[in-house]
Amino acid sequence: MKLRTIKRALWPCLIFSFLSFSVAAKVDYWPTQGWKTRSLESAGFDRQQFQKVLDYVWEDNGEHKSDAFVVIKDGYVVYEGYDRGYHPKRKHMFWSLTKSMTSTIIGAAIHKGHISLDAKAVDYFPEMDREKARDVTLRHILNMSAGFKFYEENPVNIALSDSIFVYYSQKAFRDVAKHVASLDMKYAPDEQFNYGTHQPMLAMGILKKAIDNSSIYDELPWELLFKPLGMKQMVFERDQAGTFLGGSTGWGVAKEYAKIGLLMLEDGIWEDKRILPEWWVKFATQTVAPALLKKKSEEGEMRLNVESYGAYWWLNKKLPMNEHRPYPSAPDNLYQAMGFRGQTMGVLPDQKIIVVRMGSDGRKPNKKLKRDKLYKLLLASLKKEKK
Amino acid sequence: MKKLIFITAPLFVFSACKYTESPSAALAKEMCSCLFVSEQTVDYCKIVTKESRILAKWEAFPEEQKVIARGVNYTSMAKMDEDPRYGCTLLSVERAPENAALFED
Repeated sequence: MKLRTIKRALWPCLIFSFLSFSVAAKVDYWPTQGWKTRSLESAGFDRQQFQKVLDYVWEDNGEHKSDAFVVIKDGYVVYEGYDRGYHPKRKHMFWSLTKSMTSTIIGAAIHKGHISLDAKAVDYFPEMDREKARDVTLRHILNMSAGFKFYEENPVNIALSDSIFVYYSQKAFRDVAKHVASLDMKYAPDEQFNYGTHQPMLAMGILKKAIDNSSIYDELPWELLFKPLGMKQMVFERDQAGTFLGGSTGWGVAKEYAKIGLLMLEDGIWEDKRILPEWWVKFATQTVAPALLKKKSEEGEMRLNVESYGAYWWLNKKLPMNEHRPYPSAPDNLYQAMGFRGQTMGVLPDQKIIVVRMGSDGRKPNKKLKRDKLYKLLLASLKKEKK
Repeated sequence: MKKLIFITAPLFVFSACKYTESPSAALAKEMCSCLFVSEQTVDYCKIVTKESRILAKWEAFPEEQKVIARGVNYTSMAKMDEDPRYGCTLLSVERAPENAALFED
């Protein structure tokens, strides 16, 4: 009788264990020393259909300009190509792909106990001891919802954008995080979403002050992320104060950046060791910033009301005020790192696909790669699974 | 109409002055990174810095791995860090009214 009771009690445990082991997209090797390759066919792609992806990415009719393109499926590189002087070892500027990299470094720092998501910015920057600013936490800053008055892209002239001024002005460039901490506040935290390069700058400044040891901080991106993942080409630029410019000054190669995508697909685990907190990937890549659910931004703010956003990752969730999700051709659990001039890393969890595209696109809409079209073509190139 | 111009012109000039330091600083930093971090060609680096090159002129010093850029009213300098993992750092943004002569024609 007792044995039967124990068996009954064990069944849910066994089922739960099975489910929890099968949730993550486990790879059959870790690409720390380099990615293995696989043919398109053996990875489940239709070569003729995949050619349409390549035709679009590499088309050179004066529109978008691709520099590097890498597709990874189930942990294997199935395609890589380069142009315009780039090759597997020539570093490309990440622009705002740096923000997602910064997010991952912050996540790893939280896992190591260097800082917490609820840390208040004012505890590290006394400039923020004022109305609205004193309640700002690291979580608000990661959600682009701290409330600073900031215009990422000036609607009249890009040269007048705060994103340029925030680290290229005389009063800002020596210590960018300190400058950001002194910016005027427009909203209370979580009141308004406002995408901007200033917030990851401040996040890296908070981390620096929390660690309070330059020899540890200077090595932190390498110790927490780049070395464990085998990202050997990484460059992370700093201001004169030695603070990493978390918004846009990372440099590296496409195949190494893709390892961040795999780390996220693997739920923050690499080489069977946890690098990110258990809750991190869901928080950063599947949870819409609370402020985005409230109202649309004003002119000049955020600029992308149709997008949805997590913690320095772009999401594909439909917002209540919109009729469809940002990338209708892709599943709603797609998440992306995106940057100026068409930098893109898309992660498709259901298909276990990571796609990285580095580019030098222009600013006009007809000079940019259309990401939804890329996903549409890519997903159409997957062979239909036999039932 | 004249009144409108009289009011808006100073505002425009003030706005422009506020940001005149940025083009030289952006060009120095971005050109430094393009040439010495990415090790791209000058032609390629000119393309990706075209917005700031409209408002500033630049000169590279490959042996010192630094770039000096001169814009209206400001001169800026960026240099590769001794540790290449840190790339280029913007080291100076100085007032330089004499630069105006560079843009007279």
